[in-house]
Amino acid sequence: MNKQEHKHISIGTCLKVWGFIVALVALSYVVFLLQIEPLWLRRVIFIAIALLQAVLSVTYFMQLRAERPGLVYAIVPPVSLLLALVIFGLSEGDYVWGVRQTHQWLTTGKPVIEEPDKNGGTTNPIEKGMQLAQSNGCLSCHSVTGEKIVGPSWKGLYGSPQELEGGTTVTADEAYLKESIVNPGAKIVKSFPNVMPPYKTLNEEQLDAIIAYIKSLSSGGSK
Amino acid sequence: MEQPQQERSGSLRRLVADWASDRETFRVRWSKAMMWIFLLGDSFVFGSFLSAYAATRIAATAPWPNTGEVFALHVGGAEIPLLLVAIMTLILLSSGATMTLAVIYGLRHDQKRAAMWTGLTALLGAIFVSLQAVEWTNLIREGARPWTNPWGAPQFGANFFMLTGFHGMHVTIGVLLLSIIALRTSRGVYEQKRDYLSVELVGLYWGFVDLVWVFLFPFFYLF
Ligand code: HEC
Repeated sequence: MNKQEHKHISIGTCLKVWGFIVALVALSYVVFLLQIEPLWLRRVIFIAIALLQAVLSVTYFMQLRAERPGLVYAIVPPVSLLLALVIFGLSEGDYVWGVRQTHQWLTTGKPVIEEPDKNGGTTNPIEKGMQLAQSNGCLSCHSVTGEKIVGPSWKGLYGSPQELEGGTTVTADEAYLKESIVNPGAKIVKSFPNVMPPYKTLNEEQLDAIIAYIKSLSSGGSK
Repeated sequence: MEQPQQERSGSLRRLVADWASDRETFRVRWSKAMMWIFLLGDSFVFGSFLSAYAATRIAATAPWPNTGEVFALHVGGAEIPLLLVAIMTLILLSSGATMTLAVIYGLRHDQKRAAMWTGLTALLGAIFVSLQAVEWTNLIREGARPWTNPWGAPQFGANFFMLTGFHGMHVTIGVLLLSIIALRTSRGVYEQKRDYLSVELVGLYWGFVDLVWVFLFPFFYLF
């Protein structure tokens, strides 16, 4: 019993480990903020830091160090095996991804738009705008083919003159598009009902992405 | 035992002795052994979630949402990626250190300090859960659901809500336990028994909650 008491950590050690763990959190956050390239290196750093933190908190905070080896060996190996479980998960997921890609290729002749998970999300604004237009339901009212659904089609919209309710005409530039999305009631396109809901929750970047996508749908505006 | 074994480092010999001694193996109080075994089981729950996350993320055909943008925090006009989560991480990992201090003071039968540090740990845990509630609210307002989200692969939501939800549930239970034990410590229940084992046990549980976050933070948010 006495021997065990000795192996419990002291307050000084606890404070040191605390400081070290805080430094490690800060380090991993900085590595994330700087987006250190290449991606695999960044991930190796994250994993190394996580393992180090895990070892520190198990040995010092949970004080496994002070326990007999009978207990230590009953706990540590099974938990470490979980890593193998995650690796199984990865290989299973990789297989599923291959099947999905093959299926898409066989049915549509197109490969999957983007490899999953290369950059943690797309950076191409046009692509992003397309996803936003899909996920926000714009495409249930606006076609990209020239066909009228509920609202006017986006094909050729950018840069073209728009006849408005009340007889005026405006050119569909960026400012007009932005206003039409955030506050569609301000200018109503002639012979269309004023039914489009205002999209006030989209942030600037998302608006720019959608506008970039709309621009890409007219020959003059794609850039 | 044979000679070569005797010269080996003590750990292996002590392991054999633990298992061969024909009496209890772990040589800790039964409740401590049970806590360890419970945590071992619990680690498999989280291990399975992480494995499922790995499988679904790599199998997603749509790009994975950029967590830096999704979890960005507005501070003065700028968007700082992942700031809230980084603060939460610091709070939770620091609470691991405050809990260890509580355990150390408990082992020294320092009633007042043990109660104080346990209470402080409970407070930090409560702050963590509240910030998590803020994070969930923001995400749900922006349209994240377990089956869809505005930023990319729909698998993101299911994984996010399961992983952080399950972990948050553990933190919530931990805050409850910690509060009860802080109260009992300050009332002198353990001092009367001359036994602060309960503080040690909740310390183990809290260390585990910490440990899970050590992996969730890099794998879910930073990766
Ligand atoms: C309920 C159906 C509906 C939805 C959903 C909808 N819109 Fe509209 N939209 C309309 C209608 C109808 C008009 C024409 C009347 C007007 O100008 O308000 C219009 C007009 C517009 C215009 C001006 C078009 C022009 O020809 O001048 C833009 C740009 C636009 N919408 C963008 C969007 C975007 C971006 C979204 C998704 C974030 C969206 N809309 C979602 C119905 C919809």
